[in-house]
Amino acid sequence: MEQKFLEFVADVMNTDVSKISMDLQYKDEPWDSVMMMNLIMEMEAEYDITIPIENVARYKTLRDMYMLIN
Amino acid sequence: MKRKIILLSNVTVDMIATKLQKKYEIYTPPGFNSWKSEIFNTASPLYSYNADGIFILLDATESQTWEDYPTAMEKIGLWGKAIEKLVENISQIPIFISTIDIRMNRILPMSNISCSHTVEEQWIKIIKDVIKCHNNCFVYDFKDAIVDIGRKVFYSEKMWYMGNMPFSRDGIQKISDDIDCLINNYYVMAKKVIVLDLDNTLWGGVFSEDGIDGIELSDHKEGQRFYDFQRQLLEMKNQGILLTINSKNNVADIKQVFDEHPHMLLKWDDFVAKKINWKSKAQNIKELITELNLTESSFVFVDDNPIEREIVLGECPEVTVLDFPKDTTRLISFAEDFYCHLFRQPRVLNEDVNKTEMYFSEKKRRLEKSESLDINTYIKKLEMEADIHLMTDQEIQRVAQLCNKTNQFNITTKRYTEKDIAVMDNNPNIKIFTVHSSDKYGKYGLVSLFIAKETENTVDIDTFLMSCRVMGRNLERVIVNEILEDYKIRGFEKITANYIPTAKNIPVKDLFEQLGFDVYFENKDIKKYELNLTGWKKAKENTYKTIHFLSDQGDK
Repeated sequence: MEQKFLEFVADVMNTDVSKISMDLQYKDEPWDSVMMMNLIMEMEAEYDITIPIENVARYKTLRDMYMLIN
Repeated sequence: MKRKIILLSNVTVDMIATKLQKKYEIYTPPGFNSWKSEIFNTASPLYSYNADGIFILLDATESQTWEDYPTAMEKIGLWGKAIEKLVENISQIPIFISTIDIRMNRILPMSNISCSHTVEEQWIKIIKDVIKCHNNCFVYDFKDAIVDIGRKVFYSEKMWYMGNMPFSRDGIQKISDDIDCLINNYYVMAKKVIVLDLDNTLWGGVFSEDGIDGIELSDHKEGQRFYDFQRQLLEMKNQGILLTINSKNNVADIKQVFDEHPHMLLKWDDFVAKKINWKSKAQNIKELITELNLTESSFVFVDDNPIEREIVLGECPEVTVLDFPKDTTRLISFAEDFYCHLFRQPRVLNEDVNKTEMYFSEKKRRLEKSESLDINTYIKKLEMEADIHLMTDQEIQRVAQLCNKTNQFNITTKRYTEKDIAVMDNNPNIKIFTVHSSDKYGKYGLVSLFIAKETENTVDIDTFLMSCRVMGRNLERVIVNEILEDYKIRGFEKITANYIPTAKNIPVKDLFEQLGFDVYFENKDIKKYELNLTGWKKAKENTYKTIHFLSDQGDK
């Protein structure tokens, strides 16, 4: 499941899955603010969820994002 | 190599750039809403990026805070000023300017009407003026894209509040697809011919079973879907796209539909060629290719029958075979879609409009040819005229069009853009000759291009191409004769030329041998020629009615 999520994230961020992990921190390459918007948009579409804007500031690592779908 | 695109916008477009990066190299100015300052700073990367196209994508989400009409006009006036500055500095690559979608404050009483339409109209007027004066400027109808999908789907408030990026996932996809399509339209060669089936394609039902009164075709209700499809096709024909028929029927029956059906919008003569017989459709397409003297890849096949489509796909692999919609109420969007992707040209030129009629004149010429004893008698009877001169600024678009469309009579097949042509035209050591031709049946228009690069006493023929509509008229001899003599008079001693073989330029494989050049190098990729002008003499030409030649820059 985690690996599948990482592959999805890598595709959204136009990067190789080997370059990212669940511990990737927001603001570390390649996860900038544009990629955050991209990720939220794509996660909402892929997993059919709504991510409230007021929570976005709390997501610090990819694991935090992953929790949204588990 | 990836094409390079510049995206200029007043909102964050990085997510559109991310989408496009899979296929293009993208430059967006750093910083939010910096597009105007990027334009006014002529030292900015915008001017040194060497792009293949610029898109100005203007979002009007900020219009929700525009208080009144004068504020709105002031804002778009400033946008207009920035665009004027940009087009002043960039004239050689396509610039696509978006229309806008004004969403003004909706908290209005019933007695008030928003001025958003007036502001949008005013913006369109500004774009129209720019396009009229600058032939590298085009419109990207962004408003239309939004209307097509609907604002509630196109925009995302969440993205706007998160990062000043107003579009939704669907909106971003639509904009990226549109940009990709417009760049393709500009750089990739458009298709030329639509091959149409009749029964259940141009009308509903089968003529041989339903009869003239039974087929579905009318200007209202159900039958209107075919009437509307015909109207779209007629519109395409009026832009120079050739229509042909490929149908399993009896000619006399079909002629009756064209002659007698009151709602047959397309007329018999709107089709440049008709294959109405019981042969295989693939065979008919092959005959059309020969008859129209075009390449297989210029053809698009439209037929409701999946089995016929499968056969054509198998036997004519380069023909584009379209998936005909099962639901025929979708015929209009089907036509729009294939037009936009396969046929749309930057602009329709005079040479395009009467193309179908030109092919009919060509038929008359062929008849004349079959009645003539030899080629010279035939050319004399045609009363050919040739006008060879240095390219004028007004001819650049047609010259670029010829560079990108001509496959058969094209010695080096260099696909120059308007930008490349303009750069060469400014080089004093390069001469670009254009050739117009006509005969007693009508004008052929600008049909040939000859680009010569001069170094000391040698001239290299960089490009020599000719539209297939004038092949077999000795025109190539006339052109080379005149240009070579001019160079001889001006003291040049040697002419060099190359033939670079492609799958399609076999007709000019031995052109230079026939024109008296010597081959001095040859391998599978190139054949190199030279001709010594000192010993060369202009051949006597007596088959043309008139030949006009001007190599003077003052002609411009």
